[in-house]
Amino acid sequence: MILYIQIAAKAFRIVAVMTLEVHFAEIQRLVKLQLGAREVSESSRLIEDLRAESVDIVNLAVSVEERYGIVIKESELARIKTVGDLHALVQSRVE
Amino acid sequence: MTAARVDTLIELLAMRAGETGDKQAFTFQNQSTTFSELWQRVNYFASFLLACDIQRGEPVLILLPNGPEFFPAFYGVQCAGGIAVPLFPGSSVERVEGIAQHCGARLLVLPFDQKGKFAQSTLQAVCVDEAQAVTTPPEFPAIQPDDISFLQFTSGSTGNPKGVMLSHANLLTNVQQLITGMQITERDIFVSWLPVYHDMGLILKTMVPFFLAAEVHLLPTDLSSVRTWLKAIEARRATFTAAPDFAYRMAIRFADESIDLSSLRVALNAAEPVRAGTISEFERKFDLNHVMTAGYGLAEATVGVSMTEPGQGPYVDARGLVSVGRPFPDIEVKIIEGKSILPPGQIGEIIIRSAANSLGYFNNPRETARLFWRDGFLLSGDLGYLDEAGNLFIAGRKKNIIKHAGETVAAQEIEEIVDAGRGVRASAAVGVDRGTLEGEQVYVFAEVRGGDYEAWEETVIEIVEAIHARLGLRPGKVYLIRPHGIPRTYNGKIQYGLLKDLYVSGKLRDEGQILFPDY
Repeated sequence: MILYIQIAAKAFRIVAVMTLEVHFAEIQRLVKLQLGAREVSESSRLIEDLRAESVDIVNLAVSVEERYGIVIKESELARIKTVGDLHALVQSRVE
Repeated sequence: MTAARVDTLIELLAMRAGETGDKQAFTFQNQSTTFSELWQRVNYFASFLLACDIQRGEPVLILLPNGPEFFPAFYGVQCAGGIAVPLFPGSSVERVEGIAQHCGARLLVLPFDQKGKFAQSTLQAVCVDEAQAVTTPPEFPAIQPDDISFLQFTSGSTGNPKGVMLSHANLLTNVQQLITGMQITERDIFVSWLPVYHDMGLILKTMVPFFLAAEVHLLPTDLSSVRTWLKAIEARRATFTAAPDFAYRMAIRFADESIDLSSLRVALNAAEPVRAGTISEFERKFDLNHVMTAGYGLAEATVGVSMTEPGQGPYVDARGLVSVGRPFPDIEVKIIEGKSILPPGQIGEIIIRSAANSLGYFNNPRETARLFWRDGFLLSGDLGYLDEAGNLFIAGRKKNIIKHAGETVAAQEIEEIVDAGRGVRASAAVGVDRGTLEGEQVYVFAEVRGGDYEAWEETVIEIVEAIHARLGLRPGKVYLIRPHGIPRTYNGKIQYGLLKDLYVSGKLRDEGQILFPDY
């Protein structure tokens, strides 16, 4: 019986990891909180549209790292132009 | 009646008992103590301490809250030739033992019901009430003006305690500077909830009225609401009260404007940065005119250094800084940078020369050496400037300046913006350096009352928006924390270093203080 529960729990965990999806709404929320912005969409450009400075983008990356327990390299950070880019990066890292 | 001829606080109390013995020295929660009762209790306790074999210059720790027992303990120690060391009554056993070890204390005065708290300690606990039983005829040592009256331990790290040494001469000098500078007379009526174990509450709110035999009404420090304080002012028709800016902001938010504070001559705002908004809103709410004065001081200069003139109204500069007035008589204030004195208008470190300047920190020659500049000036650690007319403006703590992307930001500036936000009770801003390229970042800790996840999200967005709109920068992080989550000293000053330590070490999160966000 105990063994059965353990196997079931293990299977469940595998499924949970496999389906771990980063919802865009969550990234959107992080961006709003970090930048004090209200209108944030997938195509919003961090610098041009949301008036983020480089230091704000670094702080945003730190928040993302703390939230998802990932590490974002500076080279990766430099390629992020839109909120959608950030979402895609985080999604690729947690998978 | 003048007390100007006394040379020590003990002489002052003896003189008061002799000349105004039947007069009320103070009330605590409406219970009155006369000067002769006070003097008798001081003598009892001093006799008791002599029986305990107290030595000349022996520090005695006092852990008593506001109340009638504090004064016999505080002055009894001095009358018996010892040095009083008043500490926050809620101090942990470790902190008390650390200070005892640092200053070589063996005796500890406690409230009767808390004697057991130090049962495991090597310190000998005594109570003021035990003194009555002692019948030794008092023969007390002669106290000199330069003898140390008490040690004021300043907030700071436990590893390096700094006990400011204040002599009788220091205290009587500053008491008279305060009286002249604040235009205090024996007709003033004081109401205070400030801790009597800390400088402003002890010196300004009890030594000054004792000196003049003016009326003083004391309240417990654990004010359940600001209403208690304001109602006492109304009931006593008080003319003089004092508190840090924080307490007045609470009054603006939570007190009932129908409370009649019209008797007030001076509502001193000191011990924390004074905000222009607090002065105008407090006076508007309670229909007062030029009652709130802004003051500045520090334990190392006994307590008071400057204050704006009563009845003159606030003086705010172009940057929004509130002047703390001109220095009191016989106090010299200059602004320096390194070795040179700066001209008017330039911000630098405030230095002070006065007969009320402390000799330094007890048993701490290293910190004492760091305290002094040259020619008898002490380094305050505060930044500010003097205008052409000699008015002093405080720009912040030397150590609490946040360097954001090469620019200097005073924590105070950010806190004012955050505090104006909806649902924010109080806030603190500190600079946190994560060791990465972008350097020190502004971290904001805002205390909020209640609310849910959605409301908190909105609060954070509003805070970031407001800071960005005003200062053109965004904080590295905004944390919403529980009420009282920001560590403060007994006088309400924010303990920035401690807050930073609590955050960086993860304790703030582990102790459940952070409400939002959860990562």
